[in-house]
Amino acid sequence: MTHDVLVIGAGPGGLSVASGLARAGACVQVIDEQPYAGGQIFRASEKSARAGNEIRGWLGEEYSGGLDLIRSAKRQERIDWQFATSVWDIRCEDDHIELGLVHGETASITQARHVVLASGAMERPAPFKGWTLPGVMGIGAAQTLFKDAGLVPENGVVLAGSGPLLYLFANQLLSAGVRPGAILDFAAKWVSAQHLVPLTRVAWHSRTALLKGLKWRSRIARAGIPHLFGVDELEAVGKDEVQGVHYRKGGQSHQFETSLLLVHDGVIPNTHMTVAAGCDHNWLAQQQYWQPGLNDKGQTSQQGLWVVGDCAGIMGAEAAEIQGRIVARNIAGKLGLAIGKAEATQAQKDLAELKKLAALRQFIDLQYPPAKTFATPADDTVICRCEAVTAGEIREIAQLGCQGPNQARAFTRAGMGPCMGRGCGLSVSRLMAEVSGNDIEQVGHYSTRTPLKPVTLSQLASLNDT
Amino acid sequence: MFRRGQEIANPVRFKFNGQTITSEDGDTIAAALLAAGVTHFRTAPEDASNRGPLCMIGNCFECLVDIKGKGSRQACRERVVEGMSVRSHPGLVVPKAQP
Repeated sequence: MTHDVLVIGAGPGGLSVASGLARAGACVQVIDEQPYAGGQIFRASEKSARAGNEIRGWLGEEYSGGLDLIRSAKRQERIDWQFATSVWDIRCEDDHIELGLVHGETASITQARHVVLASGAMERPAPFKGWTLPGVMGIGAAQTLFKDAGLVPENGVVLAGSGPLLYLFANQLLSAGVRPGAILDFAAKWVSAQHLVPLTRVAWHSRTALLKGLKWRSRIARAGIPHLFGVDELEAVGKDEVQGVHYRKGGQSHQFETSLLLVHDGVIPNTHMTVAAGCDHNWLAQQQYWQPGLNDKGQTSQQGLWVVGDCAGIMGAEAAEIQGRIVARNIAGKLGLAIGKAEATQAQKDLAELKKLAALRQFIDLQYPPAKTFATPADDTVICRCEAVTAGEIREIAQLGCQGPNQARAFTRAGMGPCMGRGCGLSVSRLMAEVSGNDIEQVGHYSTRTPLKPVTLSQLASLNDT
Repeated sequence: MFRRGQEIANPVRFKFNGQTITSEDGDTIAAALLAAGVTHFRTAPEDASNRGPLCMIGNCFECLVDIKGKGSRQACRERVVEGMSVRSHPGLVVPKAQP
């Protein structure tokens, strides 16, 4: 079967672009690593809906609302679903794009004129002393366990870092009857004077989102959970696993005992595939991440390769859905498919709505900037977890004149382990920029190569049978 | 570290380092191990430190385990199967320096 469009990722962006294209008459294949649709935000939503269990209630409307989008996409007959499937190769040719896939123990090659990447975001790796100890995890990681398996942290879990996710997750825990031991918030308690202007700009049209944030915070306070603002340093302590966390606030050191320290420093686009595909990328200085450069239609610098949702730059699920609709219309145009009148009217609304969400995002980004302490880890902090390379080793080779992250790989083996630099890429680029005094755009980022995900020889050999 | 929010409804049994673990059908191996109180999934080959899951979405590869018949796999992406045998990665054994 040949498809007009391949969509990688079945989160809000991927579901929306696939639905839009299918409605316009295109044949679409949606590929996702998970066994079901929803992406990370609506992960296992169908599963928990079937079970009719309590977990959905604890996670709240932020989670359960995604089911409509999933069900409406699932009703489209022109969508072919490829779940539990990883992409290990992406190759941009002159008139088509080729993908290497692996499902179970079988590999295959597929191609199409248009590929939409909707591979979402990942939590920004936040290196600090002790973060390799078992028991240090991302807040998003714990939320994934909650959604997918109904696991909840034990009482006394400590949440640290910054961003609205801390408040949302603390609320979800309280609903599930879990009492966090503390919230170590890197953000200031109130909006600073310099951020009041962007706040007033979004206050009215984003009032629902802002009030929700305040509601989450007040519930944490009412529950009597210690919520400490202005924390600026962390250290996980323990021998074989986490036993406690040391933190600094206002120049003073304090500590909490805990067996689970959940950390969050915002999310960043998942650029592993756009880098491998050879797309141009830009550095977003305020949020400290790389994002693929897109034209006004949503296409990357590679012909036929499009990006929607958080992997184009962090905007959230609502924006991903809108971007999906916009890109679906643009690709439908390229395929010569007619767009209905209703769709054309929607186009205007979508652009206006996207602008509002961008303004809200600007405020969120200012209020919750990436933490300094994770950008400038101490010399003895491991930054490449796979190969146990410290920040000091990267600084040392940068001082010796190492010419950027890719040469740093050869010198230190940072980025050469199984995660292939997904975890340390940002840290290595930032450290090399810090030492050399060069802009990070000059320092650059890791290159990525096939295989993008591990693939065994027997899986590759199965290509002969397909 | 973690507990189940709900009782197991459809039990699946598998082995981790020879010990039988009962989990919920459809769980990832990582979720099943964490729910059973396992925090140490592998030993890092570089510095012999203990490691466990970090990201849970297939990016960090900290949860690598050895599945009999399949080899090294991400525990956050593989689902439990009745009777499967899983072992942790032992890491590198560093020989003692000779005098």
